[in-house]
Amino acid sequence: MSKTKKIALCGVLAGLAFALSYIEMLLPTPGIIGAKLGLANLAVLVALYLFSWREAAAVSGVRILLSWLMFGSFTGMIYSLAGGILSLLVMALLKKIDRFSPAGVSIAGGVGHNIGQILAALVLLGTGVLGYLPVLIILGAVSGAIIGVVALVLINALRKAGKS
Amino acid sequence: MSSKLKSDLLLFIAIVLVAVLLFAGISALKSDGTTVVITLNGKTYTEVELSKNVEISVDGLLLRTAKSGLWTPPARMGFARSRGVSRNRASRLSACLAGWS
Repeated sequence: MSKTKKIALCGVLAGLAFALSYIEMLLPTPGIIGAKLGLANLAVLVALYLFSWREAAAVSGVRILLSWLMFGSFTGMIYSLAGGILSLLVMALLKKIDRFSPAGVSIAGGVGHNIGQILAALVLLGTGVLGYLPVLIILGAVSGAIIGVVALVLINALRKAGKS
Repeated sequence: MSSKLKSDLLLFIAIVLVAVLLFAGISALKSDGTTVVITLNGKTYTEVELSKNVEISVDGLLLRTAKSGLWTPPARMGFARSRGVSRNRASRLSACLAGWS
């Protein structure tokens, strides 16, 4: 793939991640702090599988920055950043191991994202937030599985489209 | 089922198990980490001492004696909660006092 095409695709994925973040804000939450479907992770996961962790980090970073500038608070950005970094680290590592499908990688990423957010909350709010950890781990795994299955279909479709 | 999907499933099960264990661990820490201490009339009691005492009064008001059941469970819970005792501990304290009459 040419460099220009790669940059263009990364831009599209970053825009998609930002749009999905916005759509997610409009959706009702399950009433647990920090619990989200993580729709934006779809674009990050696709970038990770189509390109590499560098492009995925760029997509994730641009999404977090834009979300912060457009509708977030500074604290919200810190949580997003902590979750995004840990999630990407876990996903990149599991992809490198090559023992899991994108669905499995996404499950671990979802859990990693929520653990990252709890770690940030530990620093900002104290140990009281630890009680949320088990619930957020399970919710991260479930949402990661849903996003992972969608990403699996999308990645296969994009690879087929790229070949033809 | 392909080996990758099996690994995904195992990963999911492992994560759920870890979360359940964490939940159990955190609950255990919350309920047994320290001794319940409650201060009545300037005197501090542990829940074991409370279960042995024959009367409890707060600010001169007799709340409970060995013979009368003046404290209803919600009142016991509320009393403990108002003094910063966690819900879990307040429940244990309430149960402890319930067996006292």
